Amino acid sequence: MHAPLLISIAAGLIIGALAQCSRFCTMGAIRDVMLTSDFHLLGGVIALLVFAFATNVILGQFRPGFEGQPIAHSNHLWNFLGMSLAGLAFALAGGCPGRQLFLSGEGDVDAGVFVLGMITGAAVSHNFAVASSPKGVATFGPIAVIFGIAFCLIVGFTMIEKAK
Amino acid sequence: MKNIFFSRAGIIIVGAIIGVFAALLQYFGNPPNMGICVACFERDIVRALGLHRADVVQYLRPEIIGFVLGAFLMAAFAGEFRPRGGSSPLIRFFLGLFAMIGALVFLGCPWRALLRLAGGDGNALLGLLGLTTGIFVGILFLKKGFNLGRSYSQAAGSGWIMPDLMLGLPYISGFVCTGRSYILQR
Repeated sequence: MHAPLLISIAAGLIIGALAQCSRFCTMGAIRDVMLTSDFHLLGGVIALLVFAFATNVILGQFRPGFEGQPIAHSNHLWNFLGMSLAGLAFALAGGCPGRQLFLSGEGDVDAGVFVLGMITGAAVSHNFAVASSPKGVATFGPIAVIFGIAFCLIVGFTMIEKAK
Repeated sequence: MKNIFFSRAGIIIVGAIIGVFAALLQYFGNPPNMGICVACFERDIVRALGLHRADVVQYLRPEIIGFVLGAFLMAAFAGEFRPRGGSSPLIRFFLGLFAMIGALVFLGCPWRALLRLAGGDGNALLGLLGLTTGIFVGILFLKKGFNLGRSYSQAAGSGWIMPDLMLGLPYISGFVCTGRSYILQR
């Protein structure tokens, strides 16, 4: 399922350009509020939510509920822990997946390495029964998430710079 | 140069445009509650390149290519294209790998978590709660002095690799020959 090529590429280019010059970042929005009480980026995130909601209502795409949602499952525990792992990894790396793409476009090689890591992670997830499906969590999803959280915690503790 | 996008109104306009575009992309044919999803779309690209065999969409997702090239063009135009790197690259690689694993257990990146909620999917609330919790733990590390180290300026060629890769993706999968990815067709 995909939108026509030209619409997709045009939307991608416009969003890429606007997000680059505005520093739009979903992780950064939540981090800034909790770390420095800075609500600037959060304004963008809330606008995204509100305008996507309004457009969905206009286009008849809004269907509230928990069960039978498209390309989703209702395992609350692993929905929560999966995104906890992702949130921790984004926070340590300094940007959400979108922001990493925009940074890689403006020359940040480290963000490019993060993107290649994500691409490898996608291959791993689908080759080793880690990625969920609408049927639910896959066999090795939970253990992979636990392993990932352990990895992030080890990185977190070992990369703390001692005050000189 | 004064950047209007650093203003409150600017960031709200950008968020609003992303939200409207995402809903419209779904209307024009992208998967439901997935007008834009960075994690899912990278996964679809990986499938189009044949790096996994899951029965999911295999498509080069021009949105991702557009994101990188749009950011590249805007940065070049604004004089913000600065090739840099060297801040714990291997750690970042694995942070990306595990971030993707977490996102694919939930079935979406933070953008799609917002879009799922905007489409009425209550499960997204658990994802957003998890995202906030993970970021909160990350902040505890940041406050203690967590740091991946500084990055250094690099030669221009390094910075061109990701935009070049995005330009090259369509060639890699034969998109230019056929007008669409031939790997797309099983």
